[in-house]
Amino acid sequence: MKAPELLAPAGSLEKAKFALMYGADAIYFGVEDVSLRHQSATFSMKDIRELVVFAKERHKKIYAAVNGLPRDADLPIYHERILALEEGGVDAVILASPALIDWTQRVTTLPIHVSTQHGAANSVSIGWLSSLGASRVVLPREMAVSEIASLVQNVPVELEVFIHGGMCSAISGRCGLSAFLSDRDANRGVCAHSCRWNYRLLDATDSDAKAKPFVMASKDLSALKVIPSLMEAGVASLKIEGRMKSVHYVASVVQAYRHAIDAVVYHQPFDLDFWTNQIRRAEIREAGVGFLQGDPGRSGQIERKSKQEETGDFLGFVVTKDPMTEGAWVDVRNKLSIGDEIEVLHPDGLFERTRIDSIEDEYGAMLSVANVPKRKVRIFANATWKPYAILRKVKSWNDPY
Amino acid sequence: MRPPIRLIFIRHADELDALSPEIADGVICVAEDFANPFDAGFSMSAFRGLKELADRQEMSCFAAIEGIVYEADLPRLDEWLRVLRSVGCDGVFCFDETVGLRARAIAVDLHVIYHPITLVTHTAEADFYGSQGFYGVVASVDLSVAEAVRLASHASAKVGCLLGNVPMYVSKRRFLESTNDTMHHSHPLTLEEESRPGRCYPVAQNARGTMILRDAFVGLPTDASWRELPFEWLIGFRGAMSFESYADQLRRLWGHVQ
Repeated sequence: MKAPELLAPAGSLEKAKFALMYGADAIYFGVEDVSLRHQSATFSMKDIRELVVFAKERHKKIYAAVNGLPRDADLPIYHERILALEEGGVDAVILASPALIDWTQRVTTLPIHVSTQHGAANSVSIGWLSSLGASRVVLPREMAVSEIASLVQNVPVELEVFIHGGMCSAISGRCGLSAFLSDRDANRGVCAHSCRWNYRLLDATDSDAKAKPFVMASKDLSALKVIPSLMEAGVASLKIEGRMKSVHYVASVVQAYRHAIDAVVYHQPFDLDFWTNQIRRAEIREAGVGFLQGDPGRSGQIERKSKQEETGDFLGFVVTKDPMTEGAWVDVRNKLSIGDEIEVLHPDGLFERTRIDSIEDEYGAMLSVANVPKRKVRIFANATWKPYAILRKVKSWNDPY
Repeated sequence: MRPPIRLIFIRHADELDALSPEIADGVICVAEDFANPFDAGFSMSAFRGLKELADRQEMSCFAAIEGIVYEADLPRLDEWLRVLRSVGCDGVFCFDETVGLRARAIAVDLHVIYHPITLVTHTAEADFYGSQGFYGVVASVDLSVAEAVRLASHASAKVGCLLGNVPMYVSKRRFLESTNDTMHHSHPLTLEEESRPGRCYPVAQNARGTMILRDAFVGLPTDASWRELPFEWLIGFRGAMSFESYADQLRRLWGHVQ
């Protein structure tokens, strides 16, 4: 069976590189002022050019999200960004506005992917988008695998499906909750996640005391167990959400789905429990398969936990191997101490466990603890580390990976 | 310049009887197979009867096909389009562009107006849908009145503006324990956000999902007469309001009540 593309989120150049190193075939990123993740849209044209080179060297692709909904005054900047992206060498642009699709098709040679914001869920709409010049359509997250399989047979474009990450609880693109309640327009990149706030349900006849809590926060999507069905359906691209998430999240999730896809392609066994556990080490929200196996009902879609904390497992990652010593320069993300027992994830899929023997700062001073985030320290350990290796806590030495 | 056509969503045929020109120039009736959670919708036969009644009262009669159209919905959509054409429906407001595309594909000549709640945010978008055979569009509810007026002034396409209890959230998900708790309930349900006590947002649910509305009736700028606005249609979304309260709000809006 042909492997579908594994498409990962990139909130920064660093995350993009991790995604590609850990097995993504392609990444997508936001473009400043014109995508749905302003805070993560940190890609300058210099970053994009560097990413293009990095990706091309590895035969990977990069897509730029220009899927905000512009006002009249915004259009010139949308046009400017799209032209710059073509110049920069991206492999496709992700657009939500049909008028912009039409403009891009006439003015550039860029392949066009239609954002899930557009809400194309049937062969008529998708066929029309194809006639406008789109080569791929990202489907809404409210579709079952059986519906997707039927569509694949009836449309002339590639279909892309979300497999992992946060989900709008509204129909994507049709939500004005954030804009109305907090003056932050979700369709212009500043969603306040108002659907995750605390609400009470009131009946006009009820006393105040009778009001019930009302939850519309959606569980995250986690489709690891549905990957064989999606591949059987003929989906062209499997997309992970999470441009705001950490390097650890991107690497762990990408690696798990890489193994899931490869297991189907090469007829290998796949340890669902092991890889599900790997993903859980990196994310904090409840997850389910969403609508992929049909309507999930209330229990299958509503997130119960209102407050969740970071796992704190992610300790840092290897930036470079020190050529003069056995040490490695590590970018610290959580507290590391001498004697810590840690586990190391490698981009090639290997895991190892080791103990930190010594820590030095950039001036060669010995440290007992490294606890300044994003500080670079040199670590000596009984292990062979390479760039992009991720260091994380061992909760118990006897725990499985 | 011709003043905008004032349309309002109705739920029962007897509401059409009660209408007068001081409230509206026409009505919008939701197709029951594609109903939003606040409007149970009309069957095909009921729509036929309603259209005849509207004709006798010299009122326009439009249909609304709400919600995302999935592949399995297409055969029923075709039936609706053919019925709406056969009864001489004045136009169809649609949440999903598929309605207009499908009408063209099966050669059903209808005035299809794209009203996706949020997506039409700029002039080029309005005109693009016009160039694709749509009769008009409805401006995004996220635009300010000034932005919507500007869009309607600059667009070549016909542009409508949604008023009233405007939707702010549309989901395929169902969050309430029972759909019977929603519009069929004698008392409307509302949501109150923790940090905004006293502000209650109507919520309703049907088999196709959940809708939440703004708490305030969205009106028009006070410094301009509605007759001079550049919109083709001013569309009153009713939400959870009773017909009496709805009609009263509209009378005030059109300046018949001081």
